[in-house]
Amino acid sequence: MNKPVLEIKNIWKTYHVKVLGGLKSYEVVALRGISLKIEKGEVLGILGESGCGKSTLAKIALGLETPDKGEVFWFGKSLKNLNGNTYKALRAKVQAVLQDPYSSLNPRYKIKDVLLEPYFINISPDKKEGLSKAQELLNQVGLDISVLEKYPHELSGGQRQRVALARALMVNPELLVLDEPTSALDVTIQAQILELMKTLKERYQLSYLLISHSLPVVFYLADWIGVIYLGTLVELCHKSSFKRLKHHPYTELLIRSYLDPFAPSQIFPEIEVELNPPISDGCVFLDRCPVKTKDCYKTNPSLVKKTDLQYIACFNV
Amino acid sequence: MNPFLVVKNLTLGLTYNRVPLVEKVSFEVKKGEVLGVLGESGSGKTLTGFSLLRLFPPGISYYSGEVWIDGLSLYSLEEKDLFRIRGKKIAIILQDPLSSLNPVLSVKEQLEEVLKAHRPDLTKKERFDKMLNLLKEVGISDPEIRLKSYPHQLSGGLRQRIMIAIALAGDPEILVADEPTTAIDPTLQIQVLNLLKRLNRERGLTIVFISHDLGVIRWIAHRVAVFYAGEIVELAPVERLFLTPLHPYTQALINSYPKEGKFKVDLKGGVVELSKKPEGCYYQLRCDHPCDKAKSYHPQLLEVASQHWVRCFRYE
Repeated sequence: MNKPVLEIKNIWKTYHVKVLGGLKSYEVVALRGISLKIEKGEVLGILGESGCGKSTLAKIALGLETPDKGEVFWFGKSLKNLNGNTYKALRAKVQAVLQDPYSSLNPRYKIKDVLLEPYFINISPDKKEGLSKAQELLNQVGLDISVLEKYPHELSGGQRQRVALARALMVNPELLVLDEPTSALDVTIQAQILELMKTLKERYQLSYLLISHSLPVVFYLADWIGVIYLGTLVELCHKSSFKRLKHHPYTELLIRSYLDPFAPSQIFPEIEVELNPPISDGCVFLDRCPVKTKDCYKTNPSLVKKTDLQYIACFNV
Repeated sequence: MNPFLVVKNLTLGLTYNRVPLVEKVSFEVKKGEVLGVLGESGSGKTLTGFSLLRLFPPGISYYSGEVWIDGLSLYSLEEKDLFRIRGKKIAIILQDPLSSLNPVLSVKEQLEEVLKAHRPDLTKKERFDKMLNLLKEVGISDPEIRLKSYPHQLSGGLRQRIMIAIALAGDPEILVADEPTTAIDPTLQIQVLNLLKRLNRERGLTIVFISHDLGVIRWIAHRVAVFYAGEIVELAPVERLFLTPLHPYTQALINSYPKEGKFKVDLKGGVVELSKKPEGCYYQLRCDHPCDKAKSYHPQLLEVASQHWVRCFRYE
């Protein structure tokens, strides 16, 4: 059997935030023991609110941050004991597309240079081959080859996001980490980019780790949907059975908070509780949970397999 | 009932080359109504919102048109008389509460500033009570503690509620809400929308709600104005607009929203360059069935069914 493209085992990450010019510091626990894996050709969508650790997870998956505890595996190889050459070879296989297409492209590089730089470093220094690859990819992402000579500021947001996708594909990756790839775009443009990402995935047999706060976006692209709350993976559910299964109370809350413009009627849930840091031992969702029991104050539940298609971290579901 | 807010042929744009960014926009809002303003980035919806308070970002100026608020003509007032309207008749809340609150002043100082300006008649004690009431009204459960807080100590949802409390301090009758929930999470978004709905219901607060999010507009607005390239292309009651959108742009917008994991892609979609607007209909280049007339003539906003206005030659 093939090794999973990405596997993350029991990752913990804490940031130390300094305040008052370093006189005091406090800890922010971004991730609390997250484990997940992505098989070849699969899309894992991660939902969660701001500050829940989604982006830290993306950085760790990309190898840009080292976890405090736990291990990251790319294609079955642990990042901890990779030698330089293997790391470099694998590095190119895992690429990123970030949220803001305005700041993720170097403003002083022509699109040509944006696309060629990773190619020269990772594939070959042959400029002619690189350019023909760049032209082919621009074609795939729906851009005219005339953009090669343009600068990022001459392109619109949607066009820049297409360039970012083309740049990631320049080095023949197998896994793309997409951190909120469409949230800076308008609805009509978002639809175009979502469709493009689906087409590219089929054509190049890519796997995606898709991070988003938008339910319809995750629902459109993902095979598996993961929900993170305060650094904990509270649910993992396959898309095929997402609609008919009962969910973790936080997932339920997210579903009810989604404003569907096509629903016949909508009842706004009353949400009054403010976010507080979780009690040290108890469940992370304790403060806002409508179904808590005694057990919830004692330990944080771990992710338990409910069916083949659903894993939930809750004592009461 | 007479409309409370009337906008007539409002045109504004860049100061240096006179390129209009908002063109001949006209609409009316009745008292107690929520008007949703829908459009993509660069369509002029935010500028229109600011112009209702006669505020302009640098480099933008007013060319022509009228704004009437409760019988007062905003653009014929002297600059020094504007304080009678801003904050008292009409107030605004913005997208990002962290950058619109002053980071070095406590919540109390920021609320007090507004109250001192608009309610000089209040004593210190009355002012304090009013502040507590305002915070309670926006759903803050421990107002005494929150008054002493600074913006960075508050969560996104609380900050947005403080913003709303500051906007309400002068007892305005209209609130312009410019994407007030775009920067916050879905669960907090619901809290803020619930609050605005309640204020609309209980206080009769008139709201002009600007957003690019179809879901938000669908569930807060009574009527919706759709902006494209600086003008209104469709204006209709909310349910009608979502069930039977008439303008091809509105149709594309609604169809491109993921529905049951599916949507229709508008292939020609892209932001219009306002300095290079085509002759005739501005939408012709993206239109799926462009008509010949659109190449040389500009369509008018016409009432094609009761309360349903659309700017398209197909319906003339």
